[in-house]
Amino acid sequence: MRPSPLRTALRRELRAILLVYLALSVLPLLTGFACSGGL
Amino acid sequence: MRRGAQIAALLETWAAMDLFGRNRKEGDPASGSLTGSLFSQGFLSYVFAALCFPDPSPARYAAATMAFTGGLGLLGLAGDLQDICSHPADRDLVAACPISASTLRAAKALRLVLLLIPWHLGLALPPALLGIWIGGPAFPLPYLGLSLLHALGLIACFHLPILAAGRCFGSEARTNMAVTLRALALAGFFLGSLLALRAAYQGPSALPGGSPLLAWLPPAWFALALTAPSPTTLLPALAFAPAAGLLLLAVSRLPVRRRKPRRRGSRFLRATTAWMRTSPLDLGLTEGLGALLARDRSFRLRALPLLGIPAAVVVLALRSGVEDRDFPLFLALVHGLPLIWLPFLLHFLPYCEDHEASWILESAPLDPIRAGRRGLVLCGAAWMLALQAALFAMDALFRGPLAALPTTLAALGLTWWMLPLLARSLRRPVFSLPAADLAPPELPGLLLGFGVAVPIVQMICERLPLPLHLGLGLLAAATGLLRVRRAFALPAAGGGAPR
Repeated sequence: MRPSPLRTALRRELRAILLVYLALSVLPLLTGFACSGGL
Repeated sequence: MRRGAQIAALLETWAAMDLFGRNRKEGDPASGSLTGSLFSQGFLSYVFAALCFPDPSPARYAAATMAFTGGLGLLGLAGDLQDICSHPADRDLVAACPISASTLRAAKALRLVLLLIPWHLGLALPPALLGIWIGGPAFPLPYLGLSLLHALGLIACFHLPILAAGRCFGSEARTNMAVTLRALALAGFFLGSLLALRAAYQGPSALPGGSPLLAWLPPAWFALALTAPSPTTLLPALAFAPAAGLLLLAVSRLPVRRRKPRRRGSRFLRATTAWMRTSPLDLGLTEGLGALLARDRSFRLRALPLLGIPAAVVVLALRSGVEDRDFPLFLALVHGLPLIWLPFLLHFLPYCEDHEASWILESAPLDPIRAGRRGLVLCGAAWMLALQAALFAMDALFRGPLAALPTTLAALGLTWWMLPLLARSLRRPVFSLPAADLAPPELPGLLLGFGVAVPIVQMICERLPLPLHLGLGLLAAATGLLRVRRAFALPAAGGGAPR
């Protein structure tokens, strides 16, 4: 049975949101390391 | 059909509308519209957290960043959701569903929570991770949980008065309350962010109410629960969101009070435009435009929050302590604010939710643009008269009526003089375009230039000697009134208007 196109789109959107989380996590981690002299 | 399956079906439909609705309307069916705004808002939250970062106190850092992310989430999501949930298509979908009221309420609450969790996690992630260097490695997880509870509680508190107004006084009061709260939230968010940033460095004494005020603010409860967990600090934080949710549930169970529709008297417009009307058509145009201005939801949602900015300017100026010598200049600036605000308001005028109704004006034997400009000049002149009368009363309290009169007359005269000129910028019939098609102004520099020029003229007038100022004000008001009478005038007989 073919998966519903809506479910596929929702899954893809969820993956995109996870990528945004990843991008939003990198910036503060870099700032924190840089300010504490870790970099 | 089981209750769970009904809720799941509604949630799936709403998820498609919320995540893809906007992009699908613009012809891009595959991509979602949430990720772009999530990244930009999350980045803003990171910038604020980075500004608070050098502060060593975890409690201050947590309170400031939670207040910022809570406010940001409230403005971004609550406003959008309000629009989506009351969209006609959504109302039809819900009204056609064979489900009980309690199932619908549960589905709506779940929709809000399911949208809020991914949205708020994006906003709270940067301050939570940056907090590792302030509160240690155990900081992020409890921060994320408490911040989410804080945002849920804030959203419930935001919806509480809106729902209560709707239940007690009908749907019109509900929209009015939503618009007012949105304007307050917008102005409060700007002021609150600045104060929170200052308080993050200087401590509670930097806030207007100091420590006693802080004890009443939810971000402070959550920051205390995070940094010094004990039963007394945890209780208010953990009980905030459930208590607000329960209150919301209790209010939603109140019976809806339906008010009998009554004819709105246009006595105000009739009386104030009596000296300005030159044709019987004028009264119809003024009343029609006045009713549309007051009733169109999208116009009110867009135009009224802008009022928050001049209000914030006045509050900030009064708080910073204006010197006695500069006080007349400050009051002259306040008198000029309605005129500065007018071009921004005119920009929203062609857009309307019920734009299909524009056929009424288009099929009339009048040039619709000219008719719109005439109605706008008369409506604007009447409303500005009322606004300046209110400002005169306020001004007279501070300086006495004799000093307030010339400033008021000069401001009113200038506004009446400028109204026909501003009305020329209306190049589309009023309320004839879909609200979603709102485009940015073509010449934003011109608007800003106007915003700078008006206070300069007002201040020059304020420096004049009193008799000259009064004479100039009287002259400006009298000639302004004549100009309003003549601007875009329609034929006295009615038919065969100039095109």
